[in-house]
Amino acid sequence: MNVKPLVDHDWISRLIPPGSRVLDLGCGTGTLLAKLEHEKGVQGSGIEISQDCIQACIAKGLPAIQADIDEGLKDYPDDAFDFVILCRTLHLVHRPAYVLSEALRVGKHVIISFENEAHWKNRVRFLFSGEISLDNEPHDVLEQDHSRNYLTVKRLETLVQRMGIKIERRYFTRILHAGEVLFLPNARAWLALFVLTRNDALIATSTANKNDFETKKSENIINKKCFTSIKPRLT
Amino acid sequence: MRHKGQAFTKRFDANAYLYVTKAIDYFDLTNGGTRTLAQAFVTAKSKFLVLSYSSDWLYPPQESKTLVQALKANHLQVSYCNIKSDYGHDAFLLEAATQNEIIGNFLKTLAPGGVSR
Repeated sequence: MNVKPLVDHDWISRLIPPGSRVLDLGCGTGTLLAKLEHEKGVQGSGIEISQDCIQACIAKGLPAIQADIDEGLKDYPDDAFDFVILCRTLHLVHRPAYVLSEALRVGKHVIISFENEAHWKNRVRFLFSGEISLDNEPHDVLEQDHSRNYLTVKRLETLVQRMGIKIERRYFTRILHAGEVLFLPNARAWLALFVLTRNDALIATSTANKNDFETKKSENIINKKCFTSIKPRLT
Repeated sequence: MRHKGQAFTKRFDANAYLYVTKAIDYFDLTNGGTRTLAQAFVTAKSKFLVLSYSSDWLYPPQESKTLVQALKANHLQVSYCNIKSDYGHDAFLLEAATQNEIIGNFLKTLAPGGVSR
């Protein structure tokens, strides 16, 4: 369905250590899971709402469960997975914050990749045509059965900060050129990928007090420093 | 109609039906409540495929989901598909094509050598 190259699949494959336990939320036809099993020998499983996609996963020999991730991940205990992946899924869920918190409960790390809708091309299109649809989506969005969250780099970062989640890594890329976007990602990145983890220190301090915001702010600065120091090159 | 009914009883013993129904009703994975559903699968090692039909009231999807949950609790590899159908419990007879395809594909991946992707 997605005509653009799935560079985020390559990124994710490089990020995940061999043999990890992986849960793919909104796994579709299992393309990413199959790749991760093949390249990294992960113990993967998927959750998907569409029956056709589940059938495709089963045909590939991938364990997949038909369920609605908006209802949570009650079947799974805490820390059941090393990585929980939301690859171009979060924009389609009804309760992004809840899904994210559930993902972080059952997984030690959460990887989110999404198309940044604040990309300058979308801004230009909106400016001239008044249309906010993306390239690969029909214009009559109102005829679709699902609603859609307009995810941007800025929005995700705000949500993550509010929820006291730690950003371990971030990658941004443009449409046609390989390589990362380091400057003004909210306007220039076409595709964004975040690696998140629970920030237990932050959760402990998140009881409402006047220093709360300051604490988060300083933590975030530390995170950013960590991120720049451990970031491997991805091209 | 009466003739059909009488012809049927000649070739089919109604008691057989009663026994099958009883056997189904008495089957209890929790062993009369002496163990949880999750405990029932403690010794299981195989991969599982659970299928349900969206409109089945006799074996509602919710019960299949509970089964999936019990299997997951034992860290077993499980796939679950809720096949969309309007035929209720009879769907497994009327929509055999989808069901056969899913089961066939599942069994294929278990065969030696697995599936080529």
